[in-house]
Amino acid sequence: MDLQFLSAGLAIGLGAIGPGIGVGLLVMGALQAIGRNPEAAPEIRTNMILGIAFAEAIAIYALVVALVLKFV
Amino acid sequence: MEALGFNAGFLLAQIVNFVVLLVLLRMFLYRPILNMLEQRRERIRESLEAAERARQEVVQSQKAYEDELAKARREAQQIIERAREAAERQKEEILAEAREQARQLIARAEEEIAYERQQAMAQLREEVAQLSLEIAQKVIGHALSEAEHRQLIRQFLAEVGESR
Amino acid sequence: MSRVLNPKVVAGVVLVLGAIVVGKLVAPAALPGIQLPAEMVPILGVRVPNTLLHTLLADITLLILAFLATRNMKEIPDGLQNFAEWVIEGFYGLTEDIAGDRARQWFPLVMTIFLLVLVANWWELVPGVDSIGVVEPPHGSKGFVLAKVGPLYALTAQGVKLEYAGEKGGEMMGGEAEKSGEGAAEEAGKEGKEEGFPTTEDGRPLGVLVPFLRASATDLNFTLALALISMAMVQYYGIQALGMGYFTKFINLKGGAMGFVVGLIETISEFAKIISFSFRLFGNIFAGQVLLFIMAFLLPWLVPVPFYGLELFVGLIQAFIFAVLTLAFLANAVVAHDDHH
Repeated sequence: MDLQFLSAGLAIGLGAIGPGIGVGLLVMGALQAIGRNPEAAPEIRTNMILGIAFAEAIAIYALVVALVLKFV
Repeated sequence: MEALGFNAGFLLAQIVNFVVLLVLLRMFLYRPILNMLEQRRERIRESLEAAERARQEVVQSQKAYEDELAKARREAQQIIERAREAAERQKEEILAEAREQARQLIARAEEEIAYERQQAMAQLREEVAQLSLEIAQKVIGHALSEAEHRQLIRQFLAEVGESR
Repeated sequence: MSRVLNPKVVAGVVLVLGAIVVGKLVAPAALPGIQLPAEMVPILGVRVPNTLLHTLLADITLLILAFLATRNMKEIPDGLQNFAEWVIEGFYGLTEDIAGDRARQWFPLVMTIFLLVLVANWWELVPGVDSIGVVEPPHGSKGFVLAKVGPLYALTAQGVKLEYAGEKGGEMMGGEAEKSGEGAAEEAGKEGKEEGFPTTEDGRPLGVLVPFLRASATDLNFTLALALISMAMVQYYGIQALGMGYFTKFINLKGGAMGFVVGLIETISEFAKIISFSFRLFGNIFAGQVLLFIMAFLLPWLVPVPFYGLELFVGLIQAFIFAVLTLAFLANAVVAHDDHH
């Protein structure tokens, strides 16, 4: 079989695990912080989104690898 | 890289496109709107300051009015006080003057009385002497000598003085 | 109990499910060929990448909005001017929070990134983008049976696997139809020419669609262009603020071997930022596009709607992240680094 497709699928599938957990932890922390200190919600939300962007970048690297495997 | 879609020409086109868009938006969107916001902020600041100034002025004029009022009241009080003092003083003066005058009148009257009495006394004495002289002349029938007269008068006067 | 079996609720559920099923049967959509490079679409005889056209569309949209918003500025704003002021004032406040005194300097760059990415992302969701274009003979491994609709051609959902022996329009293997959906015109194309198109065994032409417009951010050139500009400006302002001292961040000779390695890592991470900038935006929007394609392909009616909502949100968030990260890197670059002393 074509191992290319298998590897591409595995790359993005496995690569998404870490960022998934990371984003979950980030949002958990942010929500707890907002729960404790609702006045700071806008600031926390902005920083949470930035943090998610950084965590998500890892998944994007996996996506790039998957795309390279599939198309290149 | 080709397979991912990289193409130097397109990349350059997108960069140029972005720079042009940035310049245009800066000219036609950001500058007018930021200027407008700045202008409005300035306007709001000015009107707030004007309002503050007006409030200050009102407070100041209120204060000035109250000061003026208090001053006027104080002055009126002073005037009344001064008038009262003047009247009091005048009363005292008038009274003192009156008393003085009365005293002077009394003194003068007394003086006059004393003078009159002395006058009367002298006159009386004169008349008594005259009278007694005439009486004596009548009694004796002729005039006594000067010396005898003098002797007689002195004697009489001494008697009269004693009798008094 | 009664609430669950409320006739209105039951009717609603049945209606929705019915619409989904009927939609699937009546109007199946073609799953377009998914490819990374931008398709070259012929405009006035010149082949232009459709993502570049999409970027130009976003530019024009922005410029028209800017023109309308600032046409006659009023002290007391209304309508579009009010909206433009709200957006710009809000973003300017954010810029000031992060950049402080340099807000005025950096604001145009950051705001333009935000607006361009946002408008380009949202244009993707407008019907017609990705679905109106030129029908051409298939150049990949898959073609769609064409149906003639008036003067235009429409792609049916009937995809056919092709295998080229060599040159274009060669013989094809196995004309097995994957889906039968006659009359289902989801994607319409112009200028279809009969000649040059391969046909199925029963003589129907096969073609693919080259859309006029495709979301800019699904083209790496667009995202890489933005990332390069962004990081170039970061370096520029870093050097402007710190002079030659800026480079001690990258080539650190005072901190010993450890410091040198840290400097090396800083250098690498500067390039990694370009990669992550461009691939973050690209990956999100490309994945969103593929998601919408597949949802429309699987269940064309009603089901894609929530995904459109999601993509609306993703488009906004990605534009915001690109702008705010640029701002954060800029703010970081103008601060002197004295970690080792």
